[in-house]
Amino acid sequence: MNLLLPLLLAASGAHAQDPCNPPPVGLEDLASIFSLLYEYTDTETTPADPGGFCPDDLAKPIDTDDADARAKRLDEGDREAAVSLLAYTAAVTDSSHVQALANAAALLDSLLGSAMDARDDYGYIIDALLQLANDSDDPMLRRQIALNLWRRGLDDKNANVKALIEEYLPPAPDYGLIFPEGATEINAVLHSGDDGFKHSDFESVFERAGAEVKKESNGDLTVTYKVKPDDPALPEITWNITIRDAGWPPKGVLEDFNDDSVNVGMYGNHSQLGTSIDDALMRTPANAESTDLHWMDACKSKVFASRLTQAYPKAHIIYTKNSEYFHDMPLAFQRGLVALTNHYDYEQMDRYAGSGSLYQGHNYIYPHDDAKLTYFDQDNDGVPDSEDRIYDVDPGVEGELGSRAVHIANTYMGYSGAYGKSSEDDYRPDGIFDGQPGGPYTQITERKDAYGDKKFFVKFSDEVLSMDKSQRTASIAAEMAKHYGVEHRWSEEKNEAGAFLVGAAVYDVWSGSGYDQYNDTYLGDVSISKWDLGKHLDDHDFVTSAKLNDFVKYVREQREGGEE
Amino acid sequence: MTALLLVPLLALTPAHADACKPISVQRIASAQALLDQSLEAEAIDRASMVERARILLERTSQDDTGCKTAKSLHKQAGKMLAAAEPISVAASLDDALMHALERVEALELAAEPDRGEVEVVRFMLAALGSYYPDDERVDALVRRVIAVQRGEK
Repeated sequence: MNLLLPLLLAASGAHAQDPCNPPPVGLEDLASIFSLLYEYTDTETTPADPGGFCPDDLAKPIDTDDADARAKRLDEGDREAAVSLLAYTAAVTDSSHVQALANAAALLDSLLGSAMDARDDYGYIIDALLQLANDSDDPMLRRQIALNLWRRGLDDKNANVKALIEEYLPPAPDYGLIFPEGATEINAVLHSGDDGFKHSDFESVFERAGAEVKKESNGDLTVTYKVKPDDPALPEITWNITIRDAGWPPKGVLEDFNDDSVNVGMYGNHSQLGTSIDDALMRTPANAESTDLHWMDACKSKVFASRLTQAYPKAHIIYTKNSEYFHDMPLAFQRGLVALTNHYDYEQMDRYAGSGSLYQGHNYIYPHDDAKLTYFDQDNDGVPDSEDRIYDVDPGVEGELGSRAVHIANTYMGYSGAYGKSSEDDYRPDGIFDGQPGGPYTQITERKDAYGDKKFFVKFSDEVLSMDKSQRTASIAAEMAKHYGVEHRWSEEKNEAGAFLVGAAVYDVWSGSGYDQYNDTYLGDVSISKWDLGKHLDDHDFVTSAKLNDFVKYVREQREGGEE
Repeated sequence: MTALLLVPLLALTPAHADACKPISVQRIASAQALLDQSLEAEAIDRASMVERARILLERTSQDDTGCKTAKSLHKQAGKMLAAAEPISVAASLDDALMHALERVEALELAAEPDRGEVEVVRFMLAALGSYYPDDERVDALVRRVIAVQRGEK
C-alpha cells in the first residue's frame, strides 16, 4: 500500500532519498516525522486530544507500549518507509538531542517487533539500529539499543548484534587488562572483615591449593599462589594476593576500580541487606571505563548491583543471589584465579567454580548472565534494565531508590518464614506513579517479565522517594507483603499484622526516621514502639509463622483493650 | 579404576595417530593427567578437577575439530563427572558441617556466649538449610544454636 512514504517525505520538507535536494536536518525534521507517524497511526481523536505528536514531546521518553500498538498498524511498505525516514533523520539529528534519539531508537525497536511478529523481513531495521548505536556519542543510548536487541532474542542470529550485546553481557573477562602485555605476576585483593577472618578459612583453602600464606603484622594475609595452567599454550601465573581487613563499615573496597595495579578483586564480608558498601560508594570516585573483575561475595549482593553498575558501568562484577555467610567465598576466589589463569569464559568459570561445591554454582550471577539486568536501573527511572525499553535522560527523580527498595523488600520476604522462600524475587520494580501523601505507595500488577516468567510488578509512588530509606523500604515491603497475603487468601487480620511486621523488619531502629507514620499507616490504632519491634521478629527469619501468630494475638489484645 | 579404563582407551586411539595437532596432543595429555589426579584427590576437589579436564578437552575439540581423541576422552570425563559430583558435594557439606559443629560446641561451652557469634552461626546454618532442607544434621545444629540463644545451654 505504502501510503505513508509520500506523506512522510512531504512532512519532512525534503526528499531524503533524493541527492539533488537538501536533506532534512536536525530535531525539527525528526519531530515532523514523529508527528506525522503518530497522526497517521492514531485510531481515535477527540477535540481535547486531536492526536499527533508535538515536537516538544521528543524531550521526554515515548510510551513504548503505545509505540508498539502504532507500529502494528503499519503494513510492510509503510513500515519500511517509516524506518527509512526515522533512521535517516536520526542520523542527521545533532547528537546532543539524546532523548529525541532515544525515542527514535525506541520507535525503531517497536517497528522491529511488529516486523518480527508479522514474519516480514527485518534485517534492514536491525541495520538501522546498529547504525544508530554506532553513531551515538551517548553510552546510555547505545546501551538502550543493545538491550532492546537482547530482549528481542536476536543475539545468535547476527554477529554484529551479538557483539553489541556482549558489551553489556560480556562472555569472558577482559584478559588484556588482567594480564597486560603478557604479565605473569598479577596482583589481586580480597577485602574482608573481622567475621570474614574469623569464619572464612582463607589459610586452609589456599594452602590446600599449594599456595604460600603469610600473616602480616597488621593482621592481613599475603598469599603467593602459583598456578600452572592446564593448557600448555598458556603461561604459569603467580598471583600476589592481599587478604585485608577492610574494617566496618568496609573501607577501600571499591578503590581497585581506580587502581591500575589491581584489576582482580573481591569484597567478601557482610551485606547488611544492601547497606554495607554505602560508605565505600560515597567515598570512592566512579569510573565509567573500568573493566576490572570483582566478586561481590556478600549475602544477596544482587541488591548492590544497581548502584555499582551506575558507578562502574563497564566493570565485570560477580554477584550472589542468596546468602553466603563465608562458606563459599574463599573457594570461589581461589578457583576464580585458577579459571583466570586458564583464560576461561564466564560460563566455564561458573561450571568449574561451582562443581562439587557447597552451593554447586547456583549462588552466583556472572557478568554474562542476563539475570543481572533485573537488578540494574541504569537510567534511574525506577524500571529495571531487563524491562526498560527506553533511556529516560532526565527522570527528574532518583527512581533507583524505589527500585532498590523493591529488591531489598524481596529479600526480607525471602528470609521471612511466613512468606516462604519461594516468594523472593517474585516482585519486580516497575517505575514511578504520581502518589498522594499518606499512600497507597504502590500499584502492583501481574504480567510476564522479559524472561517470560510471571511476576508481580510494583510501581511506586513518587512520595516514597522523598522518604527516609527505612521508611521507604518498609512502606514498599509492607504493601508487597499485603499483596502476597491477598494472593494467598490470608485473613485480613493476619495479612495486616504480617505486612506491618515485614516492613518493621526493615527499620533501622537507631537512625531510621518516619517510623510513627509507618506505624499509623499500616497498623492504625495499635501503637508499637520501634524499640519493641525486636520482640516480634526473629533475628534471621524475621516474620516466622510462630512470630506472626503471636503478633496477631497481640494486636487483637491491644485492640480489645489489653496491655502487653 | 576409571584411570585403568582410560589408559587402554587412549592407547587404542593415540592422539598423534588421530590427526590431532601437536598442541592438541599436549592438551589431551594435560587433561588425562587431571583425570588421573582427580582419582587420588581429596573428595572435595574431585569434581572440579574433572571439570577442568572437560573444559580443556572442549577447547581442544573447538580448535581442532578433527581430533577424535579429545572428543572420546571428553565423553569419558563426562561420566567421571557424573560420578564425582555427588561425592564432592557431600564432602563439601561435611566440611561445612564440621566447621559449624566446632563453633556450636564452642558456644555451648562458653559461660556467656557472644551474641554476635551466636547470630553468625545461626545465619550460616540457615544458609546451609536453604540449600540442604532435608539434611537432618543441619536441623540438629540449628536446634542446638537456638538452645544457646535461649540460654538453655
